[in-house]
Amino acid sequence: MATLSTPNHAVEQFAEQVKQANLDKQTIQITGNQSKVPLRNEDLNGDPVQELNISNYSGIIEYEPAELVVTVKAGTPLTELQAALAERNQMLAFEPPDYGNSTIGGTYAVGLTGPSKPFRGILRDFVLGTKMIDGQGRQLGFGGKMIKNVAGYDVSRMLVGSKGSMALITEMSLKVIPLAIEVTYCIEMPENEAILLMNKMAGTALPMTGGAYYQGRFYYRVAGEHSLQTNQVGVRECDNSIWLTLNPFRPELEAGEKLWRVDVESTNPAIENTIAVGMGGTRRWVASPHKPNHPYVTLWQTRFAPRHNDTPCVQKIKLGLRDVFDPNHIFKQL
Amino acid sequence: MQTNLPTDLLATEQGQTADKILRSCVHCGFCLSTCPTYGILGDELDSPRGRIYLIKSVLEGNEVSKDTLDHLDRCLTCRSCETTCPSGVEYGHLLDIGREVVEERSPRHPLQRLSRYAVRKSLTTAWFLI
Amino acid sequence: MDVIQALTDAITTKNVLSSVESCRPYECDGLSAYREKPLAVALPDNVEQVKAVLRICKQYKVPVITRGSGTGLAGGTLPLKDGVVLGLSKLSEIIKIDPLQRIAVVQPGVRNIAVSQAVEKYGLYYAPDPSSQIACSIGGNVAENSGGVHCLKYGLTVHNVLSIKVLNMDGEESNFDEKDDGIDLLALMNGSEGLLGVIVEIKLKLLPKPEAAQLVMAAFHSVSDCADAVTSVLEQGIIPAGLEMMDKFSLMAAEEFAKVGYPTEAEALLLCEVDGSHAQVQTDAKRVADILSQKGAYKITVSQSEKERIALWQGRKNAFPAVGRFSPDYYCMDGTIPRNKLAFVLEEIDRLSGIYGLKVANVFHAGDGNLHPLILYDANKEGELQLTEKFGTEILNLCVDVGGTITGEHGVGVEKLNSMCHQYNTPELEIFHGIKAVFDDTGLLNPGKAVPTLHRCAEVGQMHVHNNQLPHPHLERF
Ligand SMILES: Cc1cc2nc3c(=O)[nH]c(=O)nc-3n(C[C@H](O)[C@H](O)[C@H](O)COP(=O)(O)OP(=O)(O)OC[C@H]3O[C@@H](n4cnc5c(N)ncnc54)[C@H](O)[C@@H]3O)c2cc1C
Ligand SMILES: Cc1cc2nc3c(=O)[nH]c(=O)nc-3n(C[C@H](O)[C@H](O)[C@H](O)COP(=O)(O)OP(=O)(O)OC[C@H]3O[C@@H](n4cnc5c(N)ncnc54)[C@H](O)[C@@H]3O)c2cc1C
Ligand code: SF4
Ligand code: SF4
Repeated sequence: MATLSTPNHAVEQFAEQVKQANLDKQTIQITGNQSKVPLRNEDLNGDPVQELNISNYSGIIEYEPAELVVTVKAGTPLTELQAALAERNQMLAFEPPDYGNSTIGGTYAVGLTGPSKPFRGILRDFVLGTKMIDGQGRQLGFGGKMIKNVAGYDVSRMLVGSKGSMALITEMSLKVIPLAIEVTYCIEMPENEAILLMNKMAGTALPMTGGAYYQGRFYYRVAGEHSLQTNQVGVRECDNSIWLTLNPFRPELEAGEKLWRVDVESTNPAIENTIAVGMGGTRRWVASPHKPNHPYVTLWQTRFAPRHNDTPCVQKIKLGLRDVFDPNHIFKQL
Repeated sequence: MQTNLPTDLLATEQGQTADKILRSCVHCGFCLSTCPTYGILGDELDSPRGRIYLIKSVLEGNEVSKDTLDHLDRCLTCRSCETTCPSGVEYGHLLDIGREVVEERSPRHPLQRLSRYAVRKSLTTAWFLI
Repeated sequence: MDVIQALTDAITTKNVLSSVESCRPYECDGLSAYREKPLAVALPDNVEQVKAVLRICKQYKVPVITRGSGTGLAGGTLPLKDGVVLGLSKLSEIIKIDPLQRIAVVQPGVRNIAVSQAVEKYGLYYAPDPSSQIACSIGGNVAENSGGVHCLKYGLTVHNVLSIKVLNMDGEESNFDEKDDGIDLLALMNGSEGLLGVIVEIKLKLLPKPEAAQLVMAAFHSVSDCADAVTSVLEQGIIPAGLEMMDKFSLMAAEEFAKVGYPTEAEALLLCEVDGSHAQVQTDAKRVADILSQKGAYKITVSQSEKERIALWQGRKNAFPAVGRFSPDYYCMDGTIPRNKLAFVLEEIDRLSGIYGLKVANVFHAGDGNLHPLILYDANKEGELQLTEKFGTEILNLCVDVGGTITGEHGVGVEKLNSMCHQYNTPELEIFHGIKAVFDDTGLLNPGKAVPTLHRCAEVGQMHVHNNQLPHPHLERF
């Protein structure tokens, strides 16, 4: 949305840097706290890259719990934001993984969501508006602080996953939810049965907010008041920490193995070499030297490199959109 | 909905009634959902809202052909649309007026007239059955 | 050969309307104040025919205006006189339902409510429920990113669509999936108002029906008390499944149609639904009732059966057209504001209503801060539509000035083009035009809608004011 706030010194400086880079034909790598993407000092052609670090641009701009909206600067660490919300009995519904001092800007740019994905939604679902600087150093705003807004294309949701390649996100407004009181239950069972069961249960009225399979156990998480679970055969209550084990998931691998993130339909039968099933069955983690044969597979060590499986038509759209936001290709591609 | 009926028509009782009904329609389209002919054909012209529009057009003095007649003929007069309409549009009543005017303005083919006459008679006249 | 002949050859005579007489009923949608007869109407039977229509229109450089059920309230399907209306109402097949995976794959012409009806036997439903749900199409819902009375808790269309298939002017098909890598094109397509592509298939997320749901109906003697009560409910950590408000005029109209026993003497009525497990609903309904009576509700009714709950919603869902019983025409606004500005904005609207001499009925999604003031007017009275539009623009500007937006769910269409100039500045509008050109370099998909030209904005003289010199300087800014 149009720039209503007072001119902001830090943001002006970022914009200046981008404008200057246009003049100098310099490539810029936007960085937060580098918890996910380490800074490499050269671009794909081996040319030097300038860093634009946003981690000092941090803090909550506006937070009114009754409005269910928080507006933050992009460099704000997740932990700080989550603590501020928890103080008012609220939370981020998408439970972003914290890779160690991750910023909300970096989390937005790679679009990471936690275990509640099929139940509460993904990160972009909770984005209401963003302010940004485009590749020409122009300060823009899209969306707003409203739960609903369909004026103009939904740029602030579209840029989730843009990985710093199209615009520098400076601030964003997010929808928050009341802090959920959750309990985790688990049952020992084979993987295929667990996949079937988590799908069946997700279709019942039980207020589920997580479903996973890890090391021989089916885990499910339930929020709020619900019927007694532990009177069913094999079901016992267990610790909520399983969701942090899986989010972020950082397993120890055998030599020669690679970690693959596979996104599938929730009912997809067990995939060979799977070491964890998350997000109600829609996420599979596979440890294997070979790429699993599925359309939505990411090699996790290069997790921010594009998958390059877009059709020519979609590829053309993505390249075209990049030119709209960053015509001189100032922002570094991953 | 805005209407623009000619003054001479508005001077008649029939014209006034039609105008009142037309104006009570807010063109929301809710009635599309319960109309059996629209459900099958998927053409606005075979829906209550479309037929109301066709009738409006005729009453406003626009040219009318067999097309309009066909779409009005296809209406089953089941008045399911009336029960759905939140605005209380008396569709059935409007349709009667519409059919009459269209019948006058877009005369049927003589053969069709004959066959309609035959059907009507066969269903209502006892000697026909013998 | 001309375009009509080419279309007829490709998709048969019965699927092409071209006489003035047959095209006229397609000249407007739910906003009947804006009308234009199209060159022709194409009603393809299947996706192959849709592709053919697009290719032909590209070849003849003819604009394409995609239409679902035509219930849009912003003139999104307003034809162009040299354009072809592409009606998708015959593509109304539910292709697949997978109850275990909780998804449905549908064609764009499937009506919103038909999805929930088809999956009811599995204990599932499709959550977004616009008031027009009995008639509006899923394709139209995606194109408008429609909301409904339950979207505070369950989200808008964008939150409930998992993937879509889209055609461009070449008839080429792309698939946008939630699982896609990189930028989120699926999110972008939601609310794109038919400017970026023709949606021909949609995979929807289905939700299990909650174990229980109860509706708390609270009557108030004053509109502002009712508005304040809304904030209080949310402040207490309850996210109601629906939180809707009606003022006296609209509740009277709704009661006239639905006859469900709304208290017609009330100045304002709040409908608050809570759902979840039996235990949760009991707790929440009681809490809501307590909060509302503390906030000045003089009468509280809690639904005692599923039948009663649905009946109480019926009135609300039919409220707009029911207003047609008392006024020949209404102009429905869709501004969204921060909830804590509800009372203020409602008072302002009331004040403006006096100045313009036009009555306003208010019925809206209070929980989302999404207002729907219906300005009542008579289109047959000379000049009254123009006056109404002016009043409407003033309401929208007010919404923007308190930190809100000009449209929460109905879209910009043709109707709010001028207000877009108030909400966005030149570089932002340039980005929008850039996006459009990437998806549709021919500019033939629903041209002239949703995003105003820069020229237009310069002309209406409402270019965004910079350096913090804004209209309504007395308002607190956000
Ligand atoms: C959209 C639509 C779909 C239809 N689909 C079908 C279908 O699939 N199959 C089908 O068979 N028909 C169908 N019909 C026709 C119609 O629904 C049936 O003929 C139905 O049985 C008529 O019942 P009714 O109660 O509406 O009778 P009415 O239309 O009220 O009456 C029909 C005749 O029976 C007489 N009558 C009614 N009640 C009595 C009584 N108690 N004692 C003596 N005489 C009486 C009436 O005087 C009249 O002559 C359809 C009609 C419509 C509009
Ligand atoms: C009484 C009433 C109440 C309403 N209540 C609500 C409400 O509560 N919430 C809400 O959000 N809306 C509401 N609406 C508005 C309207 O119903 C919605 O915008 C609906 O989504 C439009 O669907 P439709 O099929 O009628 O689309 P149309 O009106 O036919 O088209 C709307 C827009 O979508 C485009 N479009 C349609 N189909 C496609 C497709 N397949 N591919 C690409 N573009 C397409 C059109 O070009 C147009 O721009 C209401 C309308 C009425 C009349
Ligand atoms: S009366 Fe005619 S228009 Fe109305 S629902 Fe029946 S068939 Fe459709
Ligand atoms: S439901 Fe009633 S008001 Fe709406 S279009 Fe149909 S007849 Fe008109």
